[in-house]
Amino acid sequence: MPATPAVEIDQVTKLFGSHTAVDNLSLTVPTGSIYGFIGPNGSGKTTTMRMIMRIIAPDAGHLKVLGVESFDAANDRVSYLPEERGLYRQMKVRDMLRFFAEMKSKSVTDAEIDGWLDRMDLGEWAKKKVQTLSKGMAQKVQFIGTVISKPELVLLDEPFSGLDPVNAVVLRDAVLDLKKNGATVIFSTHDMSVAEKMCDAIFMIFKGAKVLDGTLEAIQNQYGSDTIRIKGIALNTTGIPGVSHVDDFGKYQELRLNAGADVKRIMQHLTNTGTLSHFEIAKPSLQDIFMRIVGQDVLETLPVGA
Amino acid sequence: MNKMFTVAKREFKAAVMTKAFIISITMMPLMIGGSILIQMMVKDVKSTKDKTFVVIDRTPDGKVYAALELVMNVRNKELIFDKETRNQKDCKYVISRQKSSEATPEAILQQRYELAEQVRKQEIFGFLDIGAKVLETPDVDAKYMASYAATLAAQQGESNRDRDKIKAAKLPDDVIMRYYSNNPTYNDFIDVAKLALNPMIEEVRAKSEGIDAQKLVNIVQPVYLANKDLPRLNKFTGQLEDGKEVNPVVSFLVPYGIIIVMFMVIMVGATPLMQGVVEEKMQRISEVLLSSAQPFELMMGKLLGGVSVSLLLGSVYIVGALYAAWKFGFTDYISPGVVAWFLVYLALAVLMFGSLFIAVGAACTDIKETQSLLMPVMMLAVFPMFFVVKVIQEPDSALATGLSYIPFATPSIMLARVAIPPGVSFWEPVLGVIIVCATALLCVWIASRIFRVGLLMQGKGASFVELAKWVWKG
Repeated sequence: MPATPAVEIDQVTKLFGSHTAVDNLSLTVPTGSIYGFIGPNGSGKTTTMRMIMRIIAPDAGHLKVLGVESFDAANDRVSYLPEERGLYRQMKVRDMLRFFAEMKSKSVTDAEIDGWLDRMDLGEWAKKKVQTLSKGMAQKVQFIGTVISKPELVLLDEPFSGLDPVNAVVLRDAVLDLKKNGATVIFSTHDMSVAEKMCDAIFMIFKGAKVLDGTLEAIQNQYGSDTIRIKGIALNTTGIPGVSHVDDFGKYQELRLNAGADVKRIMQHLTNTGTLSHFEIAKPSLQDIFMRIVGQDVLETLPVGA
Repeated sequence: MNKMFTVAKREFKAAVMTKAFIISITMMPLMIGGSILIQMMVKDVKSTKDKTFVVIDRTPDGKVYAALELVMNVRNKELIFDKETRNQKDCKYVISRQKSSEATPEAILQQRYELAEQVRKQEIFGFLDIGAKVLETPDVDAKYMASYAATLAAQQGESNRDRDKIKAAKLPDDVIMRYYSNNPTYNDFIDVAKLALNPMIEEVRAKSEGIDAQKLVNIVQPVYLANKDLPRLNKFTGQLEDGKEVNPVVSFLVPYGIIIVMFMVIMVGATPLMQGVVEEKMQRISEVLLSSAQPFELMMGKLLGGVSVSLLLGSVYIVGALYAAWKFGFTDYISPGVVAWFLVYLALAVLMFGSLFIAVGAACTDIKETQSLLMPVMMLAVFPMFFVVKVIQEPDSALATGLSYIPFATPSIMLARVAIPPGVSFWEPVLGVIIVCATALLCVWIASRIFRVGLLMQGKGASFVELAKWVWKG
C-alpha cells in the first residue's frame, strides 16, 4: 500500500533576486503515480523540478523527496531526463550509459546495458560514439541513462519531443513499465495529449503559483460541460448569443458557453447559415483549460477553489 | 567519494584517448629530437660552387699573399674533400692578387671601389685588402694599441659596448687587414684567412726581431682554465673524486627545459578541464550531473582527472629526459630530488591552475567567451617565463628567491632553483609546497563557488563583477 508520497512540497517559496519564481507552493505526488507538470515557460515549472532534484534549495517551506528532507540525500534514487540532450558527444554509448549508472552509485554489467539497448532498438550502437546518433536515437539513449539505475522517482522533461510515432510508442511502453515496477514518474510537458492520456494526475503552475491539481476528470469537472465542438461547412461562428469564446482549430471549432446558455438556439443559429456534420457537448480539453488560464481571460475563467 | 573517482576516470579517459594527447606524448619528443638531428645534419652541408676572391697585398714583398696562396692550394686540393669518400664538401676558394694602388687615401679608396663594383656584379665574391705594415711588430706605446686590443676583443665578444669601442677606435689603415663582401653572414673565408695568416705574420715578426718563432708560439700559448664541479666523496666506493668538467650549455638547458616542459604539461592537463565544463554547459549535461552529485564532488573529480593526465605526461617526459641524459652523459644534472620535486610541483600546479580553468569554463557559455576570461589566468601561468634566464644565471639572487615564493610562479621558479647547482636548502621547496598548497586550496574554493552558480547559467557569460558576487555570496 502506498507509503510516504514520492514528493511532498509544503508551502515552498523560491526567490531569485527580486523575482519570485515559486510562490508558496504545496503539492503531494503519491508514490507509484504518473504525475504531469504543465505550465508555460517562465512559470516556475523548471525551478520546482530543480528543487525536487536538489539542484537548488527552497528559500522557505519544506520539501521532502522520497520521505527525506535533507539536501544531500536521495539523489541516487531520483533520476532526471533533461529536455535537451545531456550526453558527452565523444563517449561511446555503452561507456556513457555505464557512467550514468555509476553516477547513481550503481554498477551495471555489459549484459544489462545491451539488454536495454536491444529493447530500445539500439543494439548495434553500443560501441559507437554518441555524436553519431540521430536526435531520436540520442533521446532514447538519454532515456536509458535515466532509468538504468532503477530510480524510484523519475523526472522526464519533454521526453517525447522530436520522436517519431514508432519511437514514441517504445518510450511510452518503457514509461508504463516503470510505473509497473513501482517507480513514480513526473512528466513535464507542453504536449497536452500526452498529459491527458498517460497521467494519473496533473499539476499546473502559472506565475509561480499552483492553478490546477488533480485527476483530469476532477479538473474538467471544475469547468463543467461548457464547450461545444462543431464541424461543418460554412459555419458562422461570430456573434452567437451565449458563446463567450471561439477557438478555431482548422478542422473543427470549439465554442465556449456562458453559464445558462441556450444550446438549442446555438444549434439553430449555426444551421441557419451552414451545414453541421458534428455537434458535441463536451468538457473542455486540457489544452483549452491551459489556454484559459494562461491567456487573456484569466480573471473570468479561473475556477473556484483552484 | 566514489562519484569523484567516477568523474575523474571519465575525465582522464576523455583527455587521454584523444588524438591530441597521443600526439603531444609522441610528437613532442620526436619534434625536439628531430630538429636537433636535422640541425646536426645540415650543419656541415655547404655549397661546392667556387668562390673567387681578389687579394691586395700592400706589404713590400707580397709575402702575405704568398702564404695565403700556399694555404689555399692545400685547402682546395685536400681539406675540402672528405677523407674517405673523396666527396667535395665545401667550395674552392680561387684567389688572385691585384697590384696595390698608390698609397694615397684617394687611390686606395678608388681601388676598393672598383673591386666593390665587381662584387656587386657577382664577378667575384669578395676581396681582401692587407695593410702595408701588418708584418711589422706593432709599437707597444703606439696610441692606437689600446683600441686595437679592444677591437680584437670585441670581435670575439661582440657586446654592444664593445661594438661602440670599435667605432671609436681610429685604427690606422695600414696595420689591419680588411675583408670586403656583399655577404656579411658568410664567415668561412675570414676564418680561413685568419688561421692562415696570423701564424705566418707572427713568424715573420719574430724572425725580424731575432726571436725563435716556435719558442714564441709556445710562450704565448694561453693557459686553459677549466670550469669544474666540486670534488666529492663517492658514497659507494668511499674514495674522494675530483669534480667533473662543467658543460655550460647543458647546465643551462636542463633547468630551462624542465621549466618549459612543466609549463606545457600544465597546459595539457588544465585546458581540457575548461573545455569539458563548457561542453557540459552547452550540451546540457551539467543539469544531469548536478542531479547526481554535489558540485564540489564534480569539480574535485575533474581536478583529479586533470592531475592524473598531467602526471602521466610528465612522467613520460621525465623518462625520456633521463634516457637522453644517460645516453649523452649528463645524468648528474637530473637528480632523483629534482624528479621528485618536479612531480610534486606539477601536481600542485595543475590543481591550482586547473581550478581556475574550471572557473573560467563555468563562467562562460561558449568557447569564444572563454578567450577573454582566460587571458588573466594565462598571464599568471606565463609571467615566470620572463624571468627564467635571469633565475638560471643567478639562482640565489634576491630576484630569484623572491619570485620562487610568489604562489603562481613557485612551481616553475622554485623547481629551477632546485635543479641548478648548488640547489637550495631542503626547507625552501618544502615551504614552497606549503605556499602552493594553500593557494591551490584557495583557488579550488573560489572555483567551486563559481562552478556551483555558473554551471546552470545559460545565455550570456558572467562579467568579473558578477563572478566576484558569486564568490562572495556563494
